[in-house]
Amino acid sequence: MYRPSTIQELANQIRDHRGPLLPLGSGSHQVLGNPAVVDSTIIDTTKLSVVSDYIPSDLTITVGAGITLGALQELLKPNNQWLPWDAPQHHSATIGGLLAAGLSGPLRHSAGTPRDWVLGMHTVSGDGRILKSGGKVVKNVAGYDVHKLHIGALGTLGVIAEVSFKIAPLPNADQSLAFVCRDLLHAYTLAYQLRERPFNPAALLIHADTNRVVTLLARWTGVAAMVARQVAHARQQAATYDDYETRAWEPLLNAPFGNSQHTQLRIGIPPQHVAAVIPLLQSLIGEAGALHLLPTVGLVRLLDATAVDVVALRAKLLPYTGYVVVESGNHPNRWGPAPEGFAIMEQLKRSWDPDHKLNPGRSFIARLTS
Amino acid sequence: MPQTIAPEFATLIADLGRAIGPKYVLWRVEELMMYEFDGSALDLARPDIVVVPASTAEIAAVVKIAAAAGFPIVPRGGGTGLSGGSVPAAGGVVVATSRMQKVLHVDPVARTAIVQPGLINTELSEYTLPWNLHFAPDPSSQKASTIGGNSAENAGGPHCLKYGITTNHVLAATMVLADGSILHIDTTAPDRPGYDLLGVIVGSEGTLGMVTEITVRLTPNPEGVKTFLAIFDDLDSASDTVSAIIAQGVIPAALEMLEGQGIALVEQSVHAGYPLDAQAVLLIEIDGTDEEIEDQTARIEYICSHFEARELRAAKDEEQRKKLWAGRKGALAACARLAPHYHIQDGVVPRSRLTEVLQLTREVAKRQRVHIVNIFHAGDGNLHPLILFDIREPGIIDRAIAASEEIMRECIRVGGSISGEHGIGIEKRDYMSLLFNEDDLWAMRQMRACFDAVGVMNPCKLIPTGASCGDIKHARGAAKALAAGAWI
Ligand SMILES: Cc1cc2nc3c(=O)[nH]c(=O)nc-3n(C[C@H](O)[C@H](O)[C@H](O)COP(=O)(O)OP(=O)(O)OC[C@H]3O[C@@H](n4cnc5c(N)ncnc54)[C@H](O)[C@@H]3O)c2cc1C
Repeated sequence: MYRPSTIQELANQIRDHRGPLLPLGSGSHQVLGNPAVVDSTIIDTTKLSVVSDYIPSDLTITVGAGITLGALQELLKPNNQWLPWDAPQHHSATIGGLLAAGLSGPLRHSAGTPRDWVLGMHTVSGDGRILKSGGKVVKNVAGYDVHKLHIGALGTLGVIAEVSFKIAPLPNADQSLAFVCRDLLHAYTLAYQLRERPFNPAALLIHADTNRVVTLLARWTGVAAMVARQVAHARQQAATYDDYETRAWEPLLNAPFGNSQHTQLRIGIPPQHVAAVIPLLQSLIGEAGALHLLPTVGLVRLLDATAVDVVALRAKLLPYTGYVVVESGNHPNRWGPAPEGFAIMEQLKRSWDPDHKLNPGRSFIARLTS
Repeated sequence: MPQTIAPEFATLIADLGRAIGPKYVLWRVEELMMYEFDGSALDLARPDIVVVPASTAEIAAVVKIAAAAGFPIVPRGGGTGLSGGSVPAAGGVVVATSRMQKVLHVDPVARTAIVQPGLINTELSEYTLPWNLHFAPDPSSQKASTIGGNSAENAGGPHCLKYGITTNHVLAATMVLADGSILHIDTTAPDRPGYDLLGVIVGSEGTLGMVTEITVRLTPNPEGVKTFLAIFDDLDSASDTVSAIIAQGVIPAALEMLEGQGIALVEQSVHAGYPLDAQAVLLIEIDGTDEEIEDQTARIEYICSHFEARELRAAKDEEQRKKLWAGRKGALAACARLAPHYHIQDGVVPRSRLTEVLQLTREVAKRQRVHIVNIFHAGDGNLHPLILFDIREPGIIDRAIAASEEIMRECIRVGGSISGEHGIGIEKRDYMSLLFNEDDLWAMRQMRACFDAVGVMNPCKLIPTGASCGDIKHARGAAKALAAGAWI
């Protein structure tokens, strides 16, 4: 196992190593993707956690990839700042790991994904080169945004070592409501009512539990008077609601990714097709343990979905250009058909990791590397 | 003017004509002259042929034919670029998108639109007005630049401070690759497995392929807008105000600055109501709901008075608002009265360093004996020092270039970048190595080669390429560039 504390050390270790390497943050999301190749040597990135540049008045920060998202938020808080990124397990997961896994949370409805907040990165390629892309300022078009390629790449193109973020002022009001709904369609309809112009919640999440109880969670952040107006409006839209502590979101956000024993599916549907797919999703609630849906984003997670026929589901989603990925549990074809541009992706993998050291066997690119 | 076809082009012209119609294949000198420059007039290079196809399939056909004959492909939108991106530095076939200007689809629920690349930026927002939606990236050139060009340059604009730049608003693209194949990258289904190719396509300046269809995000029009003009007696107070607004956690929709001689020049030509003797003015726009506007107004008033703004004026109605903006938008033309030639710098600095870097631009102007006026996107630290001069003055070109370089180096020294929105193109290509080392550039070159191994698509742009582009006509044509400024 390697445990570098500087980028240079990391680069040397990767350059000199022979055989497969497994970059690891906190390990909280190792269930994602194919199992790692058995004889992989681990690179523990948690010591790469230096805050090298934090200028609160610029709303930018540069940190080592091994810092946890929770620790980063704690750092920003005293200056009334935050990163509007509510990824699962943020207390324990490192930002490098979360970026590599491409994870975000319900706040993406209003704030976008970390892709929109990352200004630049230092990464280390498979042949041990330290590579910089982007920068530290909020606007910069010098060169290709190659750092974006590492987001969601599961560490197969390089090891993320340092990241610069744009950050945001902490909103002065933050309030949530939970609506118990009749079914998915009801929750979906309500969600869209809540985001009718000029209203816009910060986050919307539909949750269906094992007892088939469907709840819409909505969160508003921003100027207090505006949050109050939206909450009042929301209360008029639905008979049953509960005031909901923002903290109470956490168990829901963290629920997926907890358990590698059970099959967990990720389903993506273009938002314009979500309405049409609602009956299909409703029928899945009975088959799976629980369902999460970001209604305006089109992202679904199905927990305990061992009973779901993935092949049939893919076929049903095809007309809507949706996809299904088996995030955990066993499946012969967890990634589904090769993505568009696969030949370019393969070529990229070969260029930046010529000896296939980085995470061989993980991710969709595995068909090439394993 | 000779109207005969050069023999080496005859077959190519005939083939292209068969593919898209002879009418849309331009080869006469007087036709080609229109495609020699872009908005910077940085560089002049005449294309061998210009084609104006009407569909993805036609572009694919054109690329196949031209590439097979060994000609580079140079995509061109509105031609307003400021770094030479659409100038055919190595000659070849310029592919113009002016016959591809349609809005193909609007989805008001998903808040997206599918458009052709030649669509003019403002026309999209006008089209989507009935749904109370707009396309947020608003480059100052938005009445002439295209969505394809905006995507290729990852364009910014005054309102990108709050709403993000083009890359945050592009969801899918269809692209013709160097071998004539068609790639469709679609991220509307979130988190689809695969590397984020769209992330590198946006901002690639036409070097990875030619984009033929784009899906963009649309943004709801705000409930209300309020625009202020803050007037300052010294530059430092104005730039301190900008830093303070950001530091206080206020993100206005737009935060623009005009300073120095520029103010009087603008006032004389536009009559926007700027005081002639002010040293700096800030245009501050906030938008949102009544509650949000009220909250931000109070905070902006406080900050401006703390930094001793001479006056903070709020536009009372849409007409006054337009007038304040007319000053900002007409600034470039107005400054051209000071000197006939100009060169626009595009450096970025951390917002906390604005004051010192603006001071430096003044020193540089003195040292190099050129006029420099700063009219820029202050809120995100994107300077646009406008270097003004008259080329008839001996030695001036060298001094203007030296001034530009000094400012670029200073931007890098304080942790910034050499380009915030205008792109690298030809103009800043050789400065990339100030920002990136050989390994960084290697990674970018490798990535580019994955899309285009031969180097058909817009060659000699963006990355220093070494030998193969060494002998390009006008490759370091700053003198010409500036001379051609007279034409604008
Ligand atoms: C007065 C003025 C003000 C400006 N203000 C701003 C501003 O506020 N913000 C800003 O960001 N820029 C600004 N610009 C610069 C310029 O307008 C932008 O870069 C704009 O995005 C260029 O669009 P275009 O359609 O004119 O592209 P062009 O100039 O035609 O091309 C620009 C680049 O895009 C490539 N390209 C064009 N179409 C395609 C396609 N379909 N597929 C692939 N590549 C393509 C070209 O090859 C070239 O490299 C300004 C320019 C002027 C003259």
